[in-house]
Amino acid sequence: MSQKQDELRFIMHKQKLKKEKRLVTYWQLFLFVIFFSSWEMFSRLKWIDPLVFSSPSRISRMFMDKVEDGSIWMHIQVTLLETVAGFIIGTVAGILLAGILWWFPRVAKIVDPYLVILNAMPKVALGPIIIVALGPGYFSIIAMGVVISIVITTIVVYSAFREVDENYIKVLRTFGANRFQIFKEAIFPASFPSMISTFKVNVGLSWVGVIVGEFLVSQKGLGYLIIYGFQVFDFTLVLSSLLLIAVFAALMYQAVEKLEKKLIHNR
Amino acid sequence: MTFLSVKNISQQYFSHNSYTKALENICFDVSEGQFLSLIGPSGCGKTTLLSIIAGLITPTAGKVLLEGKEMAKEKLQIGYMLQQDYLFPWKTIMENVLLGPHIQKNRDPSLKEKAEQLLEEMGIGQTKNSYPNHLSGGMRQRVSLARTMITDPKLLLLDEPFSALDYQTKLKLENLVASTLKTYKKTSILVTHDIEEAIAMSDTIILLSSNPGKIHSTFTVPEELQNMTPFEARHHTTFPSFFKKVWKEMENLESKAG
Repeated sequence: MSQKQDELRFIMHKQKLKKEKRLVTYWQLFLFVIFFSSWEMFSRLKWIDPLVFSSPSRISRMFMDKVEDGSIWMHIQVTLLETVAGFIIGTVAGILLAGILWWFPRVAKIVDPYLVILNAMPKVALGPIIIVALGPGYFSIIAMGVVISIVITTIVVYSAFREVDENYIKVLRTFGANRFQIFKEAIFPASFPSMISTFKVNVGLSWVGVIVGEFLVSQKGLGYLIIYGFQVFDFTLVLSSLLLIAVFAALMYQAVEKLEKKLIHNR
Repeated sequence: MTFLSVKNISQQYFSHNSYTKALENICFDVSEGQFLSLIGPSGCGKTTLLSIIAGLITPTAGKVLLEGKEMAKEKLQIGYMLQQDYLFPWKTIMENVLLGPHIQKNRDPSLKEKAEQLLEEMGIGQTKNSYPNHLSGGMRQRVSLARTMITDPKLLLLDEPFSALDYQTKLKLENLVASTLKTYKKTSILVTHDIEEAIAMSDTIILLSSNPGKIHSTFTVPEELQNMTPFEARHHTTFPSFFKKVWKEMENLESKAG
């Protein structure tokens, strides 16, 4: 009898959770619909300048046209490739640099002020130099994506390496572990959570780097479409590129969250 | 030849504009199979001394000999248990227990059986595929003991391994550790601030004074208590009087310092 009651309470609890989740989803959808429909409405009623703010219907029409003639895919592909490459190279190189700093504490002490300056400097300001040095093409745009994320990755991951509890190292040392084993068994896996949070930051940063790079190089990609739309005063084009960027940035962020679940499932 | 001898150990810490002497001229010997406790007020350098014996810190002066050889080169012969278990959360219990052999690149397949047997003896055999965060504090400290025992160390160093546990778990674990050590005939050094624990577990107790850490006095635990399990010893009639004796010495020490 009482077991039945317990079961019942459990079922009720599950239903409550489900209800809560549904409510949140409804509100999210509601806000989405409200945002786009009021955008459309205000634009038609000219409460906002349709020339600058365009409207969802115009944007979707333009998008359809671009899908039909196929030109949008090329731009998406280029930007996506550059961003993913910039993200991966920047993040991996940043982690490698952090590893080097951890391995050679004296080097870390020496380069510390330089890292601080590099971190404080607005990296996009390096854009013109990078483009002249590497030529106006993929390489310089990817380099922009790398430059913007590498320094902060190095700093954050290095400090995560240093904050790993000394006692894990002590445990390993009592077993006679060498420096590489200490890194592999304790330092690196213990820093996964910080690494994941730098991944999340870097997703955003590499988009900034790549879009600015495309602004400057102005040949292909979503950043190029934005700057082109700005020059010919076609803000429907600007906004549709912006929406595409938002969608793909969100997808990339989701991928990082998937990775997070996989890497730190036991803590 | 003595099993372990600690010879004239001194340790200094340097800071910006001064230095402190953590340990001064510590000498003692431990014979094989003996259980020694180091007690003393906090800040007397107990843990530092243990780290020096383990070869993790190089002392400013003096040396530690294990069977006549310098400790620094004998590193693989010691097992070290810390205040908390420090199990690696991203490794399973089994992987945690086999951490020592993994580090020492010892891929003997019989080790896995040995690990299973150790876990079984400690009553946590069923946890071998779980992760540490699914275990209670007492279970985790048992795993930590298994991790220490798997490499079959000649000398066990216990750095307040029971201090983070609740009283009941602590009493149970004391018995477990004592019986495990007795079965495998291990020589051990326990650092603790708990006089009762020191008496219940050990054969010899060294009391350190602080600033700088020096040996103040050495006690031999009454023979009848030595041969009992820690739990029985705590309830033996000679326990309170011996406790009082050690307590008094420690009081003296603190009043002198204060």
